[in-house]
Amino acid sequence: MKCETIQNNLIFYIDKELDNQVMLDIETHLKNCDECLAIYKKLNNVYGYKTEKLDVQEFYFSDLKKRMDKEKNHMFLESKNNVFLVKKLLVAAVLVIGLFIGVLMGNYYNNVEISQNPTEIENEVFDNDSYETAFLE
Amino acid sequence: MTDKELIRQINNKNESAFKILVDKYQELVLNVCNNFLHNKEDAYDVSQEVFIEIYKSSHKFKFKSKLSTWIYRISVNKSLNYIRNNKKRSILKSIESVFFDVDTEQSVYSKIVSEPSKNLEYNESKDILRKALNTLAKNQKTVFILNKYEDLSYSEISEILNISVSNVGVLLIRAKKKLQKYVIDYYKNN
Repeated sequence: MKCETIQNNLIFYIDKELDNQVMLDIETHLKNCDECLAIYKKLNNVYGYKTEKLDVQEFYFSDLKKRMDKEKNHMFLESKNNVFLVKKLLVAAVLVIGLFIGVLMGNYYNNVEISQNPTEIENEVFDNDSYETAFLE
Repeated sequence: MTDKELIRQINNKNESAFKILVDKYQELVLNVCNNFLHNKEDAYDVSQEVFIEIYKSSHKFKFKSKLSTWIYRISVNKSLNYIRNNKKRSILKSIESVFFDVDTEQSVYSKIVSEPSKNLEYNESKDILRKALNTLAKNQKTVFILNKYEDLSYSEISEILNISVSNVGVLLIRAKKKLQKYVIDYYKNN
């Protein structure tokens, strides 16, 4: 076997995932090739590294509870803020609607006043009309 | 109390049932997160997020898989999300921890004094492995960690990640080949 083939299979050799014959061939090669043996050792060190196992933590649940309570309060405050925002929007909407109604009503009463109390110009037109009518007669 | 009963009680917001679940799965969740994040504090933090998620969404769990499978799934997702959201921060932290092991400063110091060459080699291996893992695609990394560090079988991994068993095999082979190449290239170039 060539060094390249050996080096391409070292990780599977470490995990013993190769056929028996290939395992034996690699083993024999490693005994006779310093370069491949050095690479094998380095790879084995890196690949064999395992993160330190973490044990059960004493105050884990109380920490978790504190965090959950904090989160719940935060959510409560957020919902409180949302309610406040909705209230603000409602007040603004009522003001806008009130203003709109006010403008509409103002226009309406203006028109009513015009039709009930004719202005000077309208009176003049009215006078001219009666004059014209009298002349024709 | 069975897992089914535990989940039923948690659905009813029973705190003592939740405590039983946390005590039962704390070690598993902590170590899965630590295997992804390589940092005790981050693992602690993310593991708590995992339990909060379990508490919030226990009603969604319908026992179509084992409870542990569901918990693994949440732990993997939370860890990957954390990596994605804190990529910059993790890079800074890992650089920091290469030069200075923040978590176990005292123990590392004492080890180095007693066995200097062995520990330098140990730290170097840890660093190279971390860098090599970072070169893997997300799904390759996940499959590799679950198989290599959690000792899960192909079928367990396929259930957790919702992929086929053959896909798990393919991803694992690719991950190993990529890791091997990274490590060999590293030593040849240094």
